[in-house]
Amino acid sequence: MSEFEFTEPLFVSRAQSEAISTPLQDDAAAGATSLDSDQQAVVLGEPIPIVFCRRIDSIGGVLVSPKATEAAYSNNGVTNQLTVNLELVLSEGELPLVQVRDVFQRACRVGTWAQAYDARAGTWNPGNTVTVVAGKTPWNCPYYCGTSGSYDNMTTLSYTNTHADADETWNKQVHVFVRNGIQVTRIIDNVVGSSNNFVDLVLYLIAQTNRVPSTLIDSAAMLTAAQFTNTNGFLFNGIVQASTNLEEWLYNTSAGFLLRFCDRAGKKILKARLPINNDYTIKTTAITAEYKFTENDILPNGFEIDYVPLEQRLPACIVVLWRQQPDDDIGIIRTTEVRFTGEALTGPYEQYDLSEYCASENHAVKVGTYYAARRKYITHSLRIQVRPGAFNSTLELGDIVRVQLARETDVTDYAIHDFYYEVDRISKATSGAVTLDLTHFPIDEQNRSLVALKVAEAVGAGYTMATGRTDFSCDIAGRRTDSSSIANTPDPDPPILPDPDNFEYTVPTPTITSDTTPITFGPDNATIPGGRNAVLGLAGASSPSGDTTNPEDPIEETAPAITGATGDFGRPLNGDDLETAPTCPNGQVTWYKRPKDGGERSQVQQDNLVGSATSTYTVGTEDIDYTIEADSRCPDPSSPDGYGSPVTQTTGPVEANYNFYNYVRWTGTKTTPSGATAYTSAWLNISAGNMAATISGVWGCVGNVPLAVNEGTTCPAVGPVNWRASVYTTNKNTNPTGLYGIGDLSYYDKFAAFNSSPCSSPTTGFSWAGTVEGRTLSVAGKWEFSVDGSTVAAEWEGRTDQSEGE
Amino acid sequence: MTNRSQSVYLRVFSGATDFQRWQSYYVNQTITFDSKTWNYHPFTIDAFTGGSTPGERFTLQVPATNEAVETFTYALGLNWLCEVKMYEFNTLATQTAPSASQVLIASVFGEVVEVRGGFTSLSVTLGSGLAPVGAQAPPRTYTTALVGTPLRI
Repeated sequence: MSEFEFTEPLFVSRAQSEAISTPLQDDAAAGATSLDSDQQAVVLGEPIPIVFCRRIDSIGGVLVSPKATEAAYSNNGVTNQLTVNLELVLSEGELPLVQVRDVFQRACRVGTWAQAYDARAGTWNPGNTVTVVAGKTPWNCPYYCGTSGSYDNMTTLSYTNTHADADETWNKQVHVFVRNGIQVTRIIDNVVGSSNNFVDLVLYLIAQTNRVPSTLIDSAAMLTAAQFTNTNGFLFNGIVQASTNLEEWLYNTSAGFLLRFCDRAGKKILKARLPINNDYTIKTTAITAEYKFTENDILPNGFEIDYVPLEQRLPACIVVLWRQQPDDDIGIIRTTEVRFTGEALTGPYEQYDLSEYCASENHAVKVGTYYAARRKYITHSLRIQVRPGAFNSTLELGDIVRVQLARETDVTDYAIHDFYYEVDRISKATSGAVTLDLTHFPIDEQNRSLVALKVAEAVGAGYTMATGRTDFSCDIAGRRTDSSSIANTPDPDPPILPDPDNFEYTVPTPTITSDTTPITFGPDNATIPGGRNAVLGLAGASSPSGDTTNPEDPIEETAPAITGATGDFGRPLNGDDLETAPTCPNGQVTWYKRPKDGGERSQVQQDNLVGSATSTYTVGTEDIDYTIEADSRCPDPSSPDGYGSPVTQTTGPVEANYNFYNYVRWTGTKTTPSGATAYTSAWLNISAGNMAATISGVWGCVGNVPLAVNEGTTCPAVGPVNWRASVYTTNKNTNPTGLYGIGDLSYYDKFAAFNSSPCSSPTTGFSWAGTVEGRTLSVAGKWEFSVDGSTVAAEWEGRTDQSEGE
Repeated sequence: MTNRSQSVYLRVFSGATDFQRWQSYYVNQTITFDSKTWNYHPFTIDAFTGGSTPGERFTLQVPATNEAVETFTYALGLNWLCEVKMYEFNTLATQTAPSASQVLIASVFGEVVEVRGGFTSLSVTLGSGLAPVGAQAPPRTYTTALVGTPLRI
């Protein structure tokens, strides 16, 4: 496949760019609250809610239905009046004190309230002391009333209320309208306080996960996004309480603020989905393309276009759910329908639920208009592959580019594909090719963004919908307008809590090594923090000590040994009877020989054995300088030839049995500085037994000593190496000085071995003066054996290195 | 006439401390760039890709030398960061190492989030610890230490 082939379907690009996004299902408004339900209790393991809001200019705030962690129930022994105390968790983090007019049980402003941060609120202790009063209705209050906890970094509420005999509302849910949520460091003004900026919430959540270092957050891009949402009134007033994947939540929710959560050069950013001015307002003036791509840029087969299908382009009515929040009453859910003039009067409808966080009609209308305008105007997406160019170092995600291509299908039929696009994806390969995923960026004749124009001019009707409530008599008198704060009352004498050690286990840091030497690393020899034990722990701890013995594999067959070799080092000699037997009855043994320096092997004998018989191979003189291999096979009825896979055993190289012979001589070639000449020595009498011969190595002839090393020429092992027949030396440099010798023949009782000097009166050897770099000189040959001193009975290339000197 | 070439630089670091600096263009050379030395290491990279969706990840391949294995094993365990930058320049204009006219055309930055491969090569993925699956928000849940044994209704 060419490296310029596309590997991803283009529809992925359309989905990624969200040219058209359609909700997969409709559901009830997520921001709705059931007022008259029973009081809920906390269950361990469920998320602690985060109340994030800030009411400014009569917009914002959120109604919270806090869950209870503790309760106390008692009644009057005469009137049976029930006193209910509840400890409630309002939010993670610290909230400013809530106002008296903002606390409810059911829809009624009743009860006595207290608030605390990082502590238990109120001064009562949990428990059930309710008794049955004669003639009155018995109370059926919970007996498991809670034990209290540390409430670390939480805002808590204490609620106390009394209920007359038989009052059925004693166990109803309490609610709190929070005008100002948890306090964070606001990115715009760098002040710690409540915030309604979605970017502040994003930064808070990312920081709380402890999963992304701050260096992976693009602070500049985040500040721009925060200014964009703040300037255009896209504000977050809601509760984060349903357990969810953070990345998915950020991606989905950011769309409700006309932001896009993505990565740029590896850093997390939020980016406006519309062009913006320097003052962060939506840009409704002419757009200038950053770069124009023409036929000169497009690579072969580098143009793919995908038009938005019909079902996603049909005019639709966008229904947006949001919250209307009056200042003195519980908020209501509103819907606003957004459609283009005269279109989709009876549907189809697409619903976008912003009620969890949107408390502004204008916010809802602009988001609805954004979806409607994209659906109406964006017609296609594009993927082009272009050669690198000047744009390579400047083009970024979100930039606007122009693609202008001529489509010539006939001499007279000439058209131009000429559109603006938003860059959704950039892929730069090391081949140089750049792949761009582009989404159609519709403009008017003044080059103004059509989507931006429609969103910028979108504004809500401004109508305040009646809540439907006219009777506030269940409120305690004066509460509806009481904007004073409830009491800040941390419990001065909270229940004694168990030691936190009872609820956790801290794994002791293991000692992996006693070595405390710091580990340094890299080109700067940087010291790795954490100590050697910590680093070894990360790198897989320590390597095992001692050996590990694997069990025998009962299936795997091992090759049977070859016995009968009688030579030095356990090597076979000519005349030896080598024996082997398969590990199974009725097996087969095939004998091969292979040149000792490698190469193809050839078969020399095959025995189909009966029972537990042994196969014997007699080594001949023709086997000298070969290794012998025995392939043993066991019967296998599933094999065509009746035997299974072979297992192979190999001997060392076969040597000449010099005890069989009375004479030996060397024959070979001497390669001297003057050239190569053949030479054969006289027969040497070895009939005394235990005799050996050798060819000496390199000698220094000035001192007449054998050389183990020399700066002028390479030196084979000094030895004497019994039965060495060939030696070589290669000059390392060119130097006219020096006097060397190599390769003289000596023979001896092998228990009194010596090297004969080639410096004076050499036979097989020779001497020379000076070195020439790269020149190789040698005495290379073989041994010939004879019984009678005239007829050659066996030939042997001899041994080659020091280890073979007996 | 130009001969467009691209050189790639890789830096593994934490805070102000560089634990590894490699370049893959100048074969068998240690070069000085940005006032620092960069050793040759024959790593390769996938395309630099930036998109409108989160979770784009970047992968590079390195020979599984002891140095590379240690670098990325520690990086994975100690949350070191890795930065890869690609520069473009005209090789006909100059042969100095590095080219004085080189221009940064792509960069990526991330934590080492995955290391896998064979015994001879490693594939290293850069990204963030923000997992694409799994519950992460809200980050805290009710525990016994926080609220004790809660009320049971």
